[in-house]
Amino acid sequence: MTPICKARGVSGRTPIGPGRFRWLEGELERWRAAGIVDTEAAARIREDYAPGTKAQATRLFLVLGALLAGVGLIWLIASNLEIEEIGPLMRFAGVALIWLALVAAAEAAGRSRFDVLAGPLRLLAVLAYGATIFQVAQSLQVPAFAPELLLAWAAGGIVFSYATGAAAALTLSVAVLGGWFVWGLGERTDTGAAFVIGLGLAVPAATAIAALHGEEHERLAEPWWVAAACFTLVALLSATFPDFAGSDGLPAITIVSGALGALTLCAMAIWRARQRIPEIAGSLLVAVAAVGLTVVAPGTPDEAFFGPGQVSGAETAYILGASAAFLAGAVGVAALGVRRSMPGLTNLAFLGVLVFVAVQSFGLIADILSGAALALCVGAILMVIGLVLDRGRRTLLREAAP
Amino acid sequence: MSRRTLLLLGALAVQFVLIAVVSAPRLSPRLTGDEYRIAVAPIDPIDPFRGAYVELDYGILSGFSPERGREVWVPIRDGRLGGPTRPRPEGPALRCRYGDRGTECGIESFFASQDEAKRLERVLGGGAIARIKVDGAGRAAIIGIEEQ
Repeated sequence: MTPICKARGVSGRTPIGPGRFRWLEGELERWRAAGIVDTEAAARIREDYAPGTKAQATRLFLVLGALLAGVGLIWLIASNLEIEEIGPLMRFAGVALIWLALVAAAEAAGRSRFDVLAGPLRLLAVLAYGATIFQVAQSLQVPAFAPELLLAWAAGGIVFSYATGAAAALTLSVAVLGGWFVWGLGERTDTGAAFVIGLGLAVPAATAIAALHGEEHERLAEPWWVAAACFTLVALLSATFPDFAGSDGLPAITIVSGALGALTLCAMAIWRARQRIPEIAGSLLVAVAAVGLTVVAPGTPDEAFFGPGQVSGAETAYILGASAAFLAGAVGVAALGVRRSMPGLTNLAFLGVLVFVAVQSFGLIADILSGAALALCVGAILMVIGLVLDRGRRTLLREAAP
Repeated sequence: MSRRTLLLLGALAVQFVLIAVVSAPRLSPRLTGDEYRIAVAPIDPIDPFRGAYVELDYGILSGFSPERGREVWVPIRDGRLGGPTRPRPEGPALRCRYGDRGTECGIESFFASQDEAKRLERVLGGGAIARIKVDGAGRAAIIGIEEQ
């Protein structure tokens, strides 16, 4: 892996948002007053940063533009345009040339004063690499819905992203990998339990990969944290449906080999980054909860016995337990967002809770609680958790005080 | 050459290898295989990443139902594909996999433009002939389809 430096503007100053710059100024003033830094050092630190939203807006437009252009390129491949003079080989050569030209352009941009273009061009290069794979498949008539194409795209994108230190390109590649994984789960198994178990085991794997990055490659760890959070929410939300989670699961050999793979990654992560033990332990709990819920799920309701719309005692107990597991998972994701200064994760957790309340208001839980009562209960639980966490924080501060 | 350039070239090499890996099963029969003409019936769906294609139904009758993902062999007899068997039968045969969509031999799709896919479905609706190539390992690739 290459060392990742902070992105610097043409002036040599690091561009940061106005809010963060205000915070830095406040902290510098506090440090100066406390005698931690002198006036000259504080001024030098302040001069190293440039406030403003222009750089962020520029990057946003460039990344969105690259994303759309790349999607357009894949779309163009998918439309199988009739070009009589151009055979399959020339089509492949043409698309591959675009991909390689983008790689070269990104490298050239990174070494010039247009370095702001390097990241978006690398993102576009990964999309063009996907287009190249799809063009090869098109030219050779690879059968439709072949998930290995997505895997090749994701793997190639990940290797390229690490070689160039491109965070946006890595985010896309990890998203494609996640898409392949979910698709593969659906292809190889057709039961809800297999889906829940597969996603559950993916949580410690993604968490361990994120933890393996270490502090110096934090930007490249972020897509893996997001993947772990998404897998957590989707696995535990799916598990709240007893007839979905209660179907036949994956074969034992697949579960054991998946668990061994995830545990190996976790062991490597703990060995390399001991400070990540809480996150890894949390992810293992999610995996255990996902597997455990599929084991105890009561399965398809016996409508002949209970009648349609009636929920048995076992189902009620399961739904309440699975809902508690989901809420604990969502709180864990939100806490991870706070711990890692990734507000996106916290927003994702709350989006998950909203989806849970919306979906379960019409699901089996509606037979136990009305939608309004469910929202009230979830809201109350989250507030209690917030109060408990705040109490814990105050206790820690009191104990740490001299 | 700098370490960064070496890393980039290494990454590009891996990307090319991945392209070769996904294309090899279809490239090998095209380059080294024998050609066969098989009766098919086309229908016209869409793949979200790759656009319009004609799905080809070879009418492979299921002789047995192995576990999903298991390898099976499909013999070529008199311009038709026979039922899947294990182990490999005598004579020309395709190496296939028993999957979600039944027996999958890698020749179930023929990609074309939206208009061409629709035209093929209309023109070949009554039955068609798929030209396929099969290499020594039983891997197959579709070369074209034509009217019966």
